[in-house]
Amino acid sequence: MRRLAASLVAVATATSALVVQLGPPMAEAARQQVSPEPLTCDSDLVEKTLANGASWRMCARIHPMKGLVLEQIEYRPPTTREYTGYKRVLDQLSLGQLNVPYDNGEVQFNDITSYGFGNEHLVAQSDATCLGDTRQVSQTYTYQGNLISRTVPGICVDEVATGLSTHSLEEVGDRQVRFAEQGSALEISSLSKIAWYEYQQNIKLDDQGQVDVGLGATGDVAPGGAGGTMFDVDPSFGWPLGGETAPGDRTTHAASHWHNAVWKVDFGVDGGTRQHVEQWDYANTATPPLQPRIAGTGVRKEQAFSAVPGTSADETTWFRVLNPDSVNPDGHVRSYEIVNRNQRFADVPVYAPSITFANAAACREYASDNLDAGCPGQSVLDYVAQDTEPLDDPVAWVNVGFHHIDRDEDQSPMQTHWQRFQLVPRDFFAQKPGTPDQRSCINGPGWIDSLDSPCVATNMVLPRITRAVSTPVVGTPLRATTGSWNEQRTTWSYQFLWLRDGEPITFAGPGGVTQAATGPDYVVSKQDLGTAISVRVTASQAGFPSGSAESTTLWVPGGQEPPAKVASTLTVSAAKARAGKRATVQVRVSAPGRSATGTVTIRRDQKVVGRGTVRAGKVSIRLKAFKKVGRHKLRAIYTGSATVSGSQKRFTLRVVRR
Amino acid sequence: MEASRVRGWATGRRIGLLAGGAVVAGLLVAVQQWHQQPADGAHDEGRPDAYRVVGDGDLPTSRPPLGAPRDALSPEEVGYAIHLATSDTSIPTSTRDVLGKAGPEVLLVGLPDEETAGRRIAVVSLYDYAADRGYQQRVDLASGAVTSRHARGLQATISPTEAEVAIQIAIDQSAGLRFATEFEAAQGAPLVAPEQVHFVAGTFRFDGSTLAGDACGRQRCAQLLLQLPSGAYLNTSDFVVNLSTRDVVRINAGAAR
Repeated sequence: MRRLAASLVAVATATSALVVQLGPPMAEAARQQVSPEPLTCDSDLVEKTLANGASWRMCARIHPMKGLVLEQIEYRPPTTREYTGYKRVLDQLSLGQLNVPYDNGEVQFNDITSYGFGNEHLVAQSDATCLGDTRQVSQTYTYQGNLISRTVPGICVDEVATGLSTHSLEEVGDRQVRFAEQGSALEISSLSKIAWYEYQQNIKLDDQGQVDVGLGATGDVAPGGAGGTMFDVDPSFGWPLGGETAPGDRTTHAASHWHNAVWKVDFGVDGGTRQHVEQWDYANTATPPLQPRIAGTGVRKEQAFSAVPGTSADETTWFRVLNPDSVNPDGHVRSYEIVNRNQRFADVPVYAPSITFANAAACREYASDNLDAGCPGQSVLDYVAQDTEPLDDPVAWVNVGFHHIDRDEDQSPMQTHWQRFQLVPRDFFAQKPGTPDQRSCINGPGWIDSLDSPCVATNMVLPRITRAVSTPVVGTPLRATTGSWNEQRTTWSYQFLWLRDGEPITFAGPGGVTQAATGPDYVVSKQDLGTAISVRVTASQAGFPSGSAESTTLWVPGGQEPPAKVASTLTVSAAKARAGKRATVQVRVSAPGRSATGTVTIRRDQKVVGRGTVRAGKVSIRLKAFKKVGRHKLRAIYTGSATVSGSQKRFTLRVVRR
Repeated sequence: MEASRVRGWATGRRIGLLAGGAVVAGLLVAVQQWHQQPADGAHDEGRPDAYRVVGDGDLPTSRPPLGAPRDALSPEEVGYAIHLATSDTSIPTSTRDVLGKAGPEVLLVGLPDEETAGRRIAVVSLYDYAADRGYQQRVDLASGAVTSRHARGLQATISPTEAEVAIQIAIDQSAGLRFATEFEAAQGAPLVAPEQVHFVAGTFRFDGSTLAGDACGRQRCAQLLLQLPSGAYLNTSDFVVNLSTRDVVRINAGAAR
């Protein structure tokens, strides 16, 4: 018990902030210490902590044919509320094929298996293409009897804004609480050029655990000009570009075409040794014209399959991959859902499915025209046909087709057109991992009322120190009250920490181990003479963010008379900050003849953006990251100590572009 | 022949809009610069993405420092993997590359798709023109052990040398092909040498969607994309080049499209 209390003290003094306590179900989750193993890459490791504190890590490299390949993709939430450390999401993500047939039947290209996105087709990044950091990529050949190589900045790694991530407004009378958060994502991208078409592989892994997989096509439309390969098509198969009439009765119609892109998504939901695929379908169970009653049915798919819209799926069908052996703190199985709202090329069987699931197998690398000696030339249709084992190690082949009908506006350089799908956590977390403390108790039944029944332990009446005598002396027993706390949602457990001149009181316990003075009772000791005693109470409950409050001080006479408090003044020096980066401000607390101690808090409006403990009149405070460029008006608030009065200082923090 | 081609590509380099043709142009420019520079592999200053010769240009025959299992292969690891893969006893002495020389054509080197339990493995894709057979050599770079698999129809990407052979064959047998007519109409002179165009080559496997070319896949074929120095592309959809037989194959000839 004492050891537990001591550890709580350590937490409280280290952060002086809200501490989330773990109750039984969450402790269960936290025990699943996930991915303690380092990834099996070194120089190709990408690990990034985003502005909200969430992190992603993975191996990222360029394959000669597949281009950008991400492996061992793992996510760590911004808090330990869900779990500690990283959890695996995907084992691998790569582009399995890009088939481009032209509508006039003239020609088709397999840009991955016939040309490749890596090797010489990889385009070096520049300051114009990559606003983040670049990763070097080596490409090596034998040529004319020599081994030759180049190393180019081939992968771009950046943190990008994703816009307003959440917004929730509470209005009661003239009171208002707004929760608004700007999101960000780790963006990993590469560029490839195959003749006139140029592509960006663009993966965004956001701060709430969602993955957006994009293939952008730019460059130029299939050209006309001297050759006019793809102009002069029968108007049925294209669209007129430009205002001129071509000589010789030729049309200026550019050929429409498909981009049949199929991604290979090898799931690794929480590193499961087995994973299941569920298909969900929806049907109206009401008799028209009664209000439709849409019933959902989920079925575990026991065998490999292709989902072909119109036959085995429709536009409301969706799929998820779950790990039956992993549950979130609510007890729901962890899964990722595939959100794919693209077109698919119904006229060629291999590109007709919107998605195909088959078991992972070492030889199954590409969606069609497979290039592994173990199953050469095969396609997703063969993988399904040959899978006899139950589907429990699924790879999803996600078809994000796009029928490109050229527009006048597509002329050179063509604006990027995107084919995207998303991998969305579904019950991977009990709540969105970036859920703010103020909303963290909204999980299942409950109500939203941050004004009058906040989630966070909130002190209403300060704790007090009571004693039997008016003037404490050595040996006087002191007792702390908890004060009064919000109890609309829950009741709290309280921990007490006694302070001497603002610092935790410690003493040598059994075996010489240093212990903190905890518990509601404390007896005045010799060391307390001539000091100010106070008590800090921390209120906590499983599933709720803790809060703490400090009593007023009690002067213990002796040795010398209590010094009158002297006034303090604050000096704040704040360098320019970069958007999205955490800045540090220096605060000096000047008090004539005293060395100030206590706490300085930095606030923007009512929101705490930084906090630090004053030592010898100085404190260096690391602020949260500001995303918005401009001048931010902040306040530094010094709470004072037994010998120094509190004070405030307004200052401006200038945030500049990164 | 090689020297003149190098000059031709140097011209292309000055244009600065190599676009798709840069496939081989990059290599040739690099080789030209290699000839102009000390053989110590000094880094090219001219073009940031230029190729340089690794070491003395020979394949490393001793094990270089190895990276982590899932890091991309270093140039030295690629060279060592090619050395082990091509010198392995699984490759018959009858093997020929695209130029007809002894030894297989080296197509590409990469990591195996699946994780490898901590071992540093490279997969080397090769092609034997004598038997029209694709090889995939899994090379354990630490032990030097090679696991060989082969199959027909294994058609990894076209190598730089194969691309050069393909364009030469296309030019030599261009009579009646659209690109030759288009080139002459645009340039006022016939296309007689590869350096007059930029080119990109990809593999072509017959899938039943063309009127001819059914040998492609069992044999090794290349699809070409040709571009004039002006940037205009030429129509190459009517043929592919069968590198195994060294023939132009008219895949859409006579089709009413």
